[in-house]
Amino acid sequence: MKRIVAETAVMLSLAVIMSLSPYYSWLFVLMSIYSLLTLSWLFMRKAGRISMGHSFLFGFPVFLASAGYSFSSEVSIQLFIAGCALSFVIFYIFAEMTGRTAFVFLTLVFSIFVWVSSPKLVFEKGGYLTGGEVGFSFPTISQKELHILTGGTLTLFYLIYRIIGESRAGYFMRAVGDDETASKAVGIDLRKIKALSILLSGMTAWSAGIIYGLEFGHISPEIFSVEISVFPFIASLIGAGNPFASVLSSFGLVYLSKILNSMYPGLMGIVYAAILILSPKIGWWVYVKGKRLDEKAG
Amino acid sequence: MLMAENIGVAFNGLQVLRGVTFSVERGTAVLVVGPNGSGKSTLFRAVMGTVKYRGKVSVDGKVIEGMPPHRRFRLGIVLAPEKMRVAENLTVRENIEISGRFRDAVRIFPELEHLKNRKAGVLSGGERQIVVFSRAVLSDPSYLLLDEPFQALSDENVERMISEIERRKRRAGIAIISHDRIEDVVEICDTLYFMLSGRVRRVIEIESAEQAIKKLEKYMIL
Repeated sequence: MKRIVAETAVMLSLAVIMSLSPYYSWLFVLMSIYSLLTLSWLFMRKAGRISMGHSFLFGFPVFLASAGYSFSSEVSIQLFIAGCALSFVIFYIFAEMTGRTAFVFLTLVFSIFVWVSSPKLVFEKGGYLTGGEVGFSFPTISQKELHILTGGTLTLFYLIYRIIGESRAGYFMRAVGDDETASKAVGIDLRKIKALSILLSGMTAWSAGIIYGLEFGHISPEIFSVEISVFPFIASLIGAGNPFASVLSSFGLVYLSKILNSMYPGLMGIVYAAILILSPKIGWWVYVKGKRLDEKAG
Repeated sequence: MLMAENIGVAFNGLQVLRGVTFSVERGTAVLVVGPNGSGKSTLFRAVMGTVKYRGKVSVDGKVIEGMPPHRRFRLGIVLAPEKMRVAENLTVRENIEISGRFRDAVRIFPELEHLKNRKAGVLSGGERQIVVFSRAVLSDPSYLLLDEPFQALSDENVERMISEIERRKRRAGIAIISHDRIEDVVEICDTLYFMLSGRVRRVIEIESAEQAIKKLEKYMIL
């Protein structure tokens, strides 16, 4: 418990320190959005499902909401709720239909399909065409309000993640993630646990999506990009699967991408590609280090 | 009574179980033996509902066709699977607390106390086996299916496990698959099933351990 409090205190301190300058406040919001995306991904991984199409869960409800916002706020809210429900159902069906490996590829292929097909959503409003590659506008709030909202949301979902991790439901999720057959044998309801992990993952990703919309005041089909899909995998890999380290690595990756992309646009994409290519080696190194730490702790 | 009637299982067109009938009553223990590939573990998995099968499984007179494993578990059927399957990323304590109180497991296996914070993935085979067994017995089953529970265990822990099985047998039905320590296990069992090529070839009512072993030696090298 002490550890969770200390980690939360570090995050809140970062939120306070970064609120002092408008640029760093903006950056903090962006870093927190990606950290929420990573936490969302970790929720799903806990139950043994590695998503490589997390941009869909993150972007779909807010993309629909932004399209609906062209008509009215009410339509926007209704479409957001429908988007949340639909993205949950699609991921749940994928998790039920497929094994672990197939889930990775299915989510990746599906998110790419959505990324490629979402620019086709174009409609006429007041004599102007809206949508397409440009996307839709979204309401914004002041930077100060957004900073508080983001800091609060990140802290809330981090605490939920840690508290659930220590609960019986968390044990069940990790047991299912490790060995489905052994979990069935001790009476764990696999469907319920998978649904719970996808729901928690979805709630975190949907919140991140809303904050993303509020930060930029605009949603384009780029919200479904492969870069966003693979981000949580890379952040979690660097953070060795530890939630706090993964949040910090998300912060670090966003900051690094700002530096590298300002030096040469697209440079961060090369870094992501290199990490993905080297991921089995990095993963093995992390595994060995983790095992040594476990042995020391034991 | 836990009853499996005329159970058939096929994997990718290959018939693994062919019309197997098997039962265990509360207050009794049965031992299932047979060479590798004879379908023993598949039989237990079919009873637990973790594989698709033909035939009928009933518990205390209630037919449980189409019931998922977690609902069978609620009816009191618990499987301790083979190959020491535990949640590797959970600690020993967390693994056991999925089913019951950790201190009850320590009462059976005192060494669990100093292993409690260790991740199950770094345990030795014998240590994993006592975690699997503890998880199964702590859920207080009415019918306990133990698949190779004595693998990789020290003599001391085999003794502890056998006495726990004897204790549980008073109010539960217990079925054991074992290749190890058959002479010791036969002592606490009432019936012996010999399986070969997906069928039950012989059912032996155990009157004495010597008689059962003698009969079994006609079919396999012990």
